[in-house]
Amino acid sequence: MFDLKKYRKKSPWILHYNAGSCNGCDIEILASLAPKYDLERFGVLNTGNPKQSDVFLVTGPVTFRSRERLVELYTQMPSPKVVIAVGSCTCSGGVFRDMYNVEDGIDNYIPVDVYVPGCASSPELIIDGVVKALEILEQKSKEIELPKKLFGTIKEEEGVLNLREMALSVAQKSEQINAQKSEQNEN
Amino acid sequence: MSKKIVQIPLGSQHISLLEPVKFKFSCENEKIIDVDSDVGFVHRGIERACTTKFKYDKIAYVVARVCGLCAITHSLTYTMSAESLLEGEVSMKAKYLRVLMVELDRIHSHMLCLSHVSENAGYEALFMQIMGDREPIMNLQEKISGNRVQFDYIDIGGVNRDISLSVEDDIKVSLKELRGKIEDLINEFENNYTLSLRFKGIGALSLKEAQEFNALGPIARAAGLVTDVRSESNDLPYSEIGFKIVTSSGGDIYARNMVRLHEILNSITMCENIVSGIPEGEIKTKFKGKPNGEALFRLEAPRGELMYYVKGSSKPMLDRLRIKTPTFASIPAFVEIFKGQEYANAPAILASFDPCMSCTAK
Amino acid sequence: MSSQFIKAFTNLFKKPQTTTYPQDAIERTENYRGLIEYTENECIYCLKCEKACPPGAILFVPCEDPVPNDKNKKSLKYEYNPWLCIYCTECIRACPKAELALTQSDKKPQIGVKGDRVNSEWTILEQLKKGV
Repeated sequence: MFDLKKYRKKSPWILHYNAGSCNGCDIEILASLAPKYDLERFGVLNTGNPKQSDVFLVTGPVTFRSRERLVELYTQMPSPKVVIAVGSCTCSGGVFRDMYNVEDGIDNYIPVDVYVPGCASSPELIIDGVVKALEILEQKSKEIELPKKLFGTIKEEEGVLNLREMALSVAQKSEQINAQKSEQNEN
Repeated sequence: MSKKIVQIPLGSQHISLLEPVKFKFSCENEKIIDVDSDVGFVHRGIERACTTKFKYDKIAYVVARVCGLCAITHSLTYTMSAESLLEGEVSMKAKYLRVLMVELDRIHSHMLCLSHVSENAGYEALFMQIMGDREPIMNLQEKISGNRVQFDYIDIGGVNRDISLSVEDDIKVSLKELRGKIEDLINEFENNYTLSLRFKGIGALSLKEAQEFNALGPIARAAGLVTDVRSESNDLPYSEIGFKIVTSSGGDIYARNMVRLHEILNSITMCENIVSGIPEGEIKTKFKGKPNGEALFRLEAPRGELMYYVKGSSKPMLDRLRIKTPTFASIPAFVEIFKGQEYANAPAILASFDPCMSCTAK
Repeated sequence: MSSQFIKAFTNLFKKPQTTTYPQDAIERTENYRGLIEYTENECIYCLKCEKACPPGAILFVPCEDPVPNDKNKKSLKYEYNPWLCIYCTECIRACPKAELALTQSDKKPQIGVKGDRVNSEWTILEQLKKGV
C-alpha cells in the first residue's frame, strides 16, 4: 500500500531565505547543490515557492526590517515542516550581538528545530544538518496523524493503531461519567 | 487604445536573488519606464559598533563580516589605513602573501558571477560545470588559511600563518589545470547561440553615460572607461608581478562577461609569478602606539573601488570609521540601465551587475 | 559542435566528481580551524582569553562549588558556546600557556537541537556575570 508517512522524507523540497546575512553562508548553500557535495542525491530541489516546500533554510541575524517577511513565509508553508538555522549569526547573533538594528537569532520569532554552527559553515556541516532534519520530519509526519483530544489513551501494536480497544476505553469512560451524573441528580 | 502603467515588484524573496532587495518597476506594456529601489534590508549598524564596542586591534575581524565575497579586501583596507597611523613597517614577504590571497579571492568571485549569469540564461548545465571547476580554488584557500570562506588571515603587522613548500606545489598544479578550463570557457561564451545571441545589445551602457553616472569596476571597463585602482598607487607590489588593465567596448552583458573572463586569466598569471618568487622575511612585526590622526586608503575589490576613512585620537577606541563600497556608488548607473528594456530580461540584467547588497547597507 | 560530442564521449570513462559524504569521511586538510578545547589543571585564571574574544563566546561565571584549584581565587567557572564562536583563533594567540591550557583541535563542531544552551539560556549566564 502507498504509505505517505514512509515516503515523505524521500523527496524534501527546500526554501531558502536570507534575513540580513553577509552572504558567506548563502554561497556555501549554493556550493552544496553543486556537483562536488551534491544535496540532490537526497531528493532535494530548490524552488522559490513556499507553498510547495518542506524544509526552510534561513541565514543571517534578523534585522528590524526583514522580520515581517520571515514570519509571513513561515506561516505560508504547509505542515509538517522543519526549520534549519544555518551559521553562527542565525543561532545566536554571532559577531553582531547587541548591535542596534539586530534582533539576536531567529529563536525569538519562529520555532527552530536544528542549529548548524560555523562562520561560515561548510557544506559538510550543512549535509549533517539536513540529514538530522529529515529524521525529525519523519517523526513529525507520524505525530500529525495521531488523534489526541478525541480518544482518551493511545494504544499501539507494532506501529499500527488498535482502534477497537481505543473505542472501548472511550465507551467505559463515558459510562463512568454518566453514572456520576446520575448520582449527582439523585443527591 | 490608451496605454496603461502597471507596477510590478521584484520582491525581497525571489529564487534568482541571493540577497534581499526590492525593486518596483513601472511598466507600460512590458517596457520598463521607471525603477524604484529599496536597499535597506541588510543594515546592521557596524560603523557605530566599531566606535563603542570593539577596540582598534579587533576591528579587522568584525569588518570582514560586512560581506562574505569580498571579505579579505575589507580587512586589508582597514589594516593598511590603521598601520599608517602607527609606528612600524611590514616586511616584503607579508605583502606578497597578502596580494596572493586577494587575487585568489577575485578568481572565485568572478567564477560565481559567471555561473549565476548562465543559469539565468537557461543553460543550467554550464552553471553546474563552472561550480564544479571552482572547487580546487576553495580547496587551496582552505590549505593556506584554514577555512573556505572568511579567512581571518590578516592582522595589524602582517599575516597570521606561513606557507609551506608542499602547498606551493599544489598551487602551481591547480592553477595550470584551471587555465586550460578557462580558455575552453572563453570559446564557449563567444560561439554558443544561447549565450552570445541572447546577450548582445541588452542592458547596454555607453561611454558617455558611464562617465556621467559614475560607474565603477567591470561595468565601467566594459563600456570603455580606463579606470583601475591597481595601476594608480604604489603601496602593494602590483607592477612587479605583471598586472594589465582589461577593457572592452559596447557595454552590454556580452562585453561584461568577456571582461571578467580575461581578468581571471590575468589573475592566474599574477598568482603564478608570486609563488615562484616569494622573498625571505618574517610574517608579523610588532607595531607600537595608539592610532592618532586621520587616514584614507583605497583598494580594488572584485566589484570596483573600496575606500576607508579612519580617525583616532590616541585612545584604544576609534573616533570615527567610514566605509564607501562600490555597489553603493553605482546605484544611479543601475537605474539608468533598466530604463527602456523589456521586463522579462530583468533577472538576467540584475545578475550581470553582480550586486552585493550586504556591502551597500552596512 | 563536434568538439562537444568528443568531450561528452570521453566523460563516460572518467570517475564521478561527487564525494559520497555520509558513508565515507571527507579528507580534512591539516590546518583546519575546529573546536576549542580547555584543560582545567593548567589554567592560571588570568582572564586574557575572555577579553580577546570578539563576540564574547568565552565567559568565566561565578559559581558556588568550583573544582578546588589554588589559582582560582574568586571561584569562577569556564563556559564556552560553540554556536556563538566565529573560530578566529584570537583566544589562543592571547593565552600565555597556549598549547597546554587552551588548544584548537580539528574536530568539527556538533549540530544542536532544541534544548541545547544556544540563545536564551546564554543570556541568563551573561546577566549573571554582569550582576556581580
